[in-house]
Amino acid sequence: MSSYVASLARLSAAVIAAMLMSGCSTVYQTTGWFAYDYTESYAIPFTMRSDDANMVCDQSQALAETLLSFSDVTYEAHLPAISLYMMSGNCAEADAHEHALAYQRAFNAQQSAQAKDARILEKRGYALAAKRQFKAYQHMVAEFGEPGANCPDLSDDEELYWVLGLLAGVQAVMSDLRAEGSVMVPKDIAMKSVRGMQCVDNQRWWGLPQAVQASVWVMLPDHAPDGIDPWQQLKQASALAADAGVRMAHAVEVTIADSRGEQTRLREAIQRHAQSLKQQPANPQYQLMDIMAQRQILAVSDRLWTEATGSRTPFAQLGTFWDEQPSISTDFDIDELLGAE
Amino acid sequence: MRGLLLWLCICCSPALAELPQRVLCVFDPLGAQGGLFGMAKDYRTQALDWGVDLQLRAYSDEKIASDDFKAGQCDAVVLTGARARPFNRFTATVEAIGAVPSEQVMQQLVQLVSSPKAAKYMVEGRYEVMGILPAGPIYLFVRDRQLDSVEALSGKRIATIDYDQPSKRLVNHVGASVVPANSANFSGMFNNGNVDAAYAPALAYKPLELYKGLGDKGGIIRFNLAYLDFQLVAHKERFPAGFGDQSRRSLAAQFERVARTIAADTAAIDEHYWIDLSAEAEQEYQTMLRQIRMQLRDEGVYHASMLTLMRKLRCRQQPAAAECVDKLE
Repeated sequence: MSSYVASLARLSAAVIAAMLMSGCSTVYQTTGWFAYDYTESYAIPFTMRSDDANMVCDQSQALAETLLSFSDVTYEAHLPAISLYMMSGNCAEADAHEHALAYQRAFNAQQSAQAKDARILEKRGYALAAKRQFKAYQHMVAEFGEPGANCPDLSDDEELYWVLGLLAGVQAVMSDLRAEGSVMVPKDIAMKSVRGMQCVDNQRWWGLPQAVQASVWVMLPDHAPDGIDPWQQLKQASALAADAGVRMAHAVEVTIADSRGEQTRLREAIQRHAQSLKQQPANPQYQLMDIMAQRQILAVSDRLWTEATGSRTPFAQLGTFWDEQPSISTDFDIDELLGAE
Repeated sequence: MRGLLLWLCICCSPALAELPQRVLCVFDPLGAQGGLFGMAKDYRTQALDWGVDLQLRAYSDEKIASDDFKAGQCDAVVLTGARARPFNRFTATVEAIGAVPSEQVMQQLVQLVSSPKAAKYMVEGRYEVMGILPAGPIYLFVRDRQLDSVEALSGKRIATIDYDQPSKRLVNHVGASVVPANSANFSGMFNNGNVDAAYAPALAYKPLELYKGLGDKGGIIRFNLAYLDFQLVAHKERFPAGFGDQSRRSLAAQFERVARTIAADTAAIDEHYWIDLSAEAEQEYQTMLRQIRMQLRDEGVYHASMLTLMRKLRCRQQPAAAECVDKLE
């Protein structure tokens, strides 16, 4: 009798435990669905409107793994993952930019050990950036299929994730190049991403498709159709971006001019960007994207300034350069003004 | 007292040494974003310790980089071996067709020419080669796998780097048509089917999507047509004595770092594209390439001593090869 009671007790305990566990699982699952739905419907659109890239950076780094852990109990949430990993990648890239400046300052001071150390940190930063950006791209591929051949059928909302994922793909290749290819990001995803970008409307996406296409033509001029001037195309895309208040195309133009060593074009593109910031406010819906573009251009300007002077772009003076003569108004003559009245 | 302290501060504060500033022009197809330019950043940091402050300039057009160097706008330049030929025939011969069958031979060669004893070969006129970096074997990419023999290539169109005399000689030798190309447009020609074949290192495969030209029928012949390299050439008199020696040793020490990248690029090639030659076909290629090398040596394009050196290194690896008995190079 006592053994019967003991067996019954064990069975009851097992059933209760199973019920509890299944109950927890249901709760986790529901929470996961809720969290994903909330992230897609509210959190990401909210962050896109943010005017504080640092805060979004910290938030993405903090939340990415926690939020995506729900994948174990629900499904793989590719859309939030694209955004979170891309943003986190940009955080690592920003760190790498800082180390690149430290390298330059140490080099200018002829401190080779410090310069080497800063270069190591710079490469580590880019390797981390490449890893995150590549993850963003892979989630985009998992959600929509590989870009480059056919265009997927995208809703208006999905287009944003498509564009973010493709941008992350291009960024991953560039970051990995700066990290000695240590992450082994497949280099062909850059070209695939450029073709994939042509699936969305150029006007709606702030000239970005035109800008990335033109950048390929700058690098491989024989691929450009006859009569097309890729630099002119880049300028047109930048003008579209300026009008839209989302200046990602400016960042593409500046990056390409910088990598080609086209100093005159580079300065002119940075100046145009700085001018545009004064004339056209950011699109409130995509303010974050505009700020990210601005940060990327500021990073290039900072490097140029640091190479030349040892310190970065002076505060609030993006678009100026160290060797420009300050203009002095000559409309008035001090002798005339102080002369007898 | 305060005056004394001030005097001490002024006298004892570390001042920056007045290092000579020199311009290093770097050809990298991706410009300042490329991996080679990144290596140049590391190199210039080393150069501080050797007493030179190098300013870097990125070039995505190799011809312009070479012209600027000739015109004296660059104190030193990084170019591919073929472009470096006018500055040093001995080191330019490293890229001799069919002369480097393996990475091991290439590494031994780079170590040899970077040793202090080889310094006399590094200087030609006012130019000095201050280092060599590997960039990987050059393979033949064919749109049809049937084009795997010398005979099959006859009459076919091959994208050929137009400034490289040995390449043109080779294409003509097999009876194929030279279709003038450069590093920026050969991939388009190959992928669009304007040529039947093109040659390239593994590093071009993914970024230029050469698999598009290979399609379902194409392949890559697993045979080193040549070994692509980058060479750092300088105006000798613009650098302090001993700089070249330190530079060569430093770059030779980078061999394994670069070799890892080459291995990764090679591994990225889809396995099914590789075409392995039969022993007879490989022998046929080797005999033909040796014949062309000797012609080019007799015409003054290749340096005889470098060809001998390379033959001896090959024979260390394969002592039973016929060329080790013939000793024609």
